[in-house]
Amino acid sequence: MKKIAINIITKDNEPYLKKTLDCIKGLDPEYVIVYNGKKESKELNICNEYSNNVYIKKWNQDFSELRNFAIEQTKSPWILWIDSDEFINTESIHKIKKLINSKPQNNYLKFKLIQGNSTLGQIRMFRNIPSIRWKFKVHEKIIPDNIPEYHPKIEINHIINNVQDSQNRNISILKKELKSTPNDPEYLFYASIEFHMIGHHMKSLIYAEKFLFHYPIKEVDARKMYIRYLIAWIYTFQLRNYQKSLQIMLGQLILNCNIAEFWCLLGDTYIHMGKYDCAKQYFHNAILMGKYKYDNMWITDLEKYDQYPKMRIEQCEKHKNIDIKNFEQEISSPLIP
Amino acid sequence: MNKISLQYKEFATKAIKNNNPEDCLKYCFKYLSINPREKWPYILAAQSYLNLKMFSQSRGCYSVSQYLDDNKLLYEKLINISFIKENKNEKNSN
Repeated sequence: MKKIAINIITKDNEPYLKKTLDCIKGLDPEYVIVYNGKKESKELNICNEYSNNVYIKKWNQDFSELRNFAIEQTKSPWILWIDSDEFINTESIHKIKKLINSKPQNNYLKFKLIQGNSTLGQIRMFRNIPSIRWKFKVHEKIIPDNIPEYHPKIEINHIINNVQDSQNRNISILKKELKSTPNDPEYLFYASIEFHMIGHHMKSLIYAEKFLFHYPIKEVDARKMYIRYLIAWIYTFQLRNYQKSLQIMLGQLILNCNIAEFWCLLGDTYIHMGKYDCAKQYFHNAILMGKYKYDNMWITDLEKYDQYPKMRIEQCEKHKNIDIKNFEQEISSPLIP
Repeated sequence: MNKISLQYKEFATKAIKNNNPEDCLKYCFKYLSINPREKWPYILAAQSYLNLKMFSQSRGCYSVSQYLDDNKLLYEKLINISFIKENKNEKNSN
């Protein structure tokens, strides 16, 4: 029996699939591939080159169903899941091998997912036991019953592609789920984000407010912070309701003043209000305070967090005496949460 | 320092003296939304964060005070003190 299995679900990722499957060869894994595309395709042929355990499954708008099916076909004691548009570099593969050989006690192992400028700790490896299964039809996840062990030096790189198709698909699933469970905080959270990403900001705002109302956790929490930031962003950039945005951001900053994006949003809001000197100081605060942030409360890469505020400071300097309308043309791409 | 600044500073200072760091933070940040270029809100906020054992946040605030002040060394010392307090706090909880 192999020490580790790879669970992959794949459809329409033929350009990247070979690279994904090649990068994990070094683990000598049990490959378990669930394919839900056309019955005859180059992609399916590639899957069959790598494994005898290729399963063709019908797509029922339920990612957890496919992932749990993959688990049930897996024999190895550890499962590493990876998407067919992700890859792991050689250094991280060596670290995973070392990790398996060290016989970890924790059932849940988190690695660092890198997606564009964002990084996120995510459960990527788990023990193959009956109690561990995926939940939720979209933005599916493993819900751990203890704190996972985080190995941030093991990195998984996600190639951002087919974004529009993914967004449309996710929204379709979320809408369906919210029809039957309209107050489910999990789906409300992702609905607010997905609608925001496709530019439907009013819908995003509605779902965001509903999420905050129905979310059961009362304490400071990364999700609540993120949604409040999203709401404040919409108030500044879409609704031009600067006072409302400031009210929300001040509350957020008191709880966590080290998040660069919060100061940047404040800065952008003050640019819109024509107060460039204040705005510049907020961007300086983003740089000065941002280096002290806790890694686990926000997804910004610590190495790149100061790029946006530096750019804005330069723009504030250049446009000190110029009308906001001209400035707005230049700040057409605000930092999107 | 203008009248508004003096008023907010007074409220914030009173709050921290009354062992109410949360209220102190509210006054500090409220004033920062009016004028972010004075040192006192960051200094008092840093002290409040230290009282609340939010050490990383205190260092963030001291680093802005340092940026706004000529006396850079003072804030280096304060940042180091924050690290020392944090380590002590971790040892005590273990």
